[in-house]
Amino acid sequence: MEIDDRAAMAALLATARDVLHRRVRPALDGDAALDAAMIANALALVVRALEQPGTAWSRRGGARTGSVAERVRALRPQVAARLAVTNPTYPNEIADSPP
Amino acid sequence: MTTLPADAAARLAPWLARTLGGAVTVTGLARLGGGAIQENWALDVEVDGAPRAWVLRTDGASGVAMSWGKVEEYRILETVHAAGVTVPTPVALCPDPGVLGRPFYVMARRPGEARGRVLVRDPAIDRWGPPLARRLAAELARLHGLAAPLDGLGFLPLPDAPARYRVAEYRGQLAAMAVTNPVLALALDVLAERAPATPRRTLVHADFRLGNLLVDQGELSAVLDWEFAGYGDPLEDLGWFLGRYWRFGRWRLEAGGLASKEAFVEAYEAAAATTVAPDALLYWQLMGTVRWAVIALQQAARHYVAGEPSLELALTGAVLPQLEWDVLDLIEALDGDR
Repeated sequence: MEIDDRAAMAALLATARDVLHRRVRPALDGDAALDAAMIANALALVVRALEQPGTAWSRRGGARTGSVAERVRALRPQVAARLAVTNPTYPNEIADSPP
Repeated sequence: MTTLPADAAARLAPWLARTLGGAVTVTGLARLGGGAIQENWALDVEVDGAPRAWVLRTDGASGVAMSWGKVEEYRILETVHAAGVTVPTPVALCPDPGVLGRPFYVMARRPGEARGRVLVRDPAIDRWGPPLARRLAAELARLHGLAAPLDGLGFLPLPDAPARYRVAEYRGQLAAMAVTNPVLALALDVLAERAPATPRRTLVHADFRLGNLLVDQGELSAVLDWEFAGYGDPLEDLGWFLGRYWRFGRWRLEAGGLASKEAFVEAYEAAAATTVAPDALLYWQLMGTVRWAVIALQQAARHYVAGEPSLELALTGAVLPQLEWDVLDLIEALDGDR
């Protein structure tokens, strides 16, 4: 493994998250358990960000012209890519729910 | 991080004695959970030998641009308490930072659970959720009976056009953070273009949702956290409450994961003796989601920019794409409503 190997770094973080989730978190309670859950969440997020770089708006920009409907259609896949990093199950979770 | 000095209890006792009269002994002072912006402390005292259960509330290490300080928040709390809104009884205000290092106030401690994610996991929520939603609608109607301007609240801005005022406010806050976000930019364009008139400006809570509502065995115990309150369009409170984020996973029940939007709005209309225009409500739902996105960015900036390391604040920034998705859904709904 090379230290600048993005895939290897993601795999390392995923392993650390798995240990935290399976072995450390069950041994904790109260605020410490909540902290462990937040750390696991943060690690999962970083793993996905390493696997799918370039979703920040500053790197992607956005549609600035067209009708409102056109601009929404243009932005939707970009937001989906951002969600794939932060909360990949969200679109399915809320499908068919009122806005 | 705590902002109270180690000898806070010893400093409080003489101040309470001077302020309230009588002999005061502080028997307990413990930090309560929750509150990324504010600090709440369970304060147990004896006044002339009689036990009192109070909450001491003060600012956290840093806040967000939209929140009031403790002096202003206490004045708002006094006003809504006098109007019969279900809030903790205000006890005393200390504007003097010399006592505890920063202003604070004391109010009665009420029973109940405020954490939305805990409340929605109650197996009995399908029984108490719908009546609680009706009660919350009636509570908002009572609050919105307070037409602007109000005595004692001269520090609150009174915007001529609340919707346009909010659009300018959020654009300014995004600019101050040098944020480039095309979804929020589009939303603010839509909100500026379609700003509805506000026939009657009232006091609004501006953060009315599970998380800021103390619920005890399915009943409303108290409406908390008035640091964002101000004058505005009463539909702002309804739109915020109906936001998808505040349903805590019970996505189909728009009214805080408790009840349907229709049932909630019907209860509000009955209690406030008014009619809510569906397109105006949708507009304020969009405004609320944009606002939450701006706050999430501010919270993340506290961690990433302002030197306040906090995993909770950093992760708050990660909700942004979820809010962007909701914003696009709401723009589509509003666009189809034309």
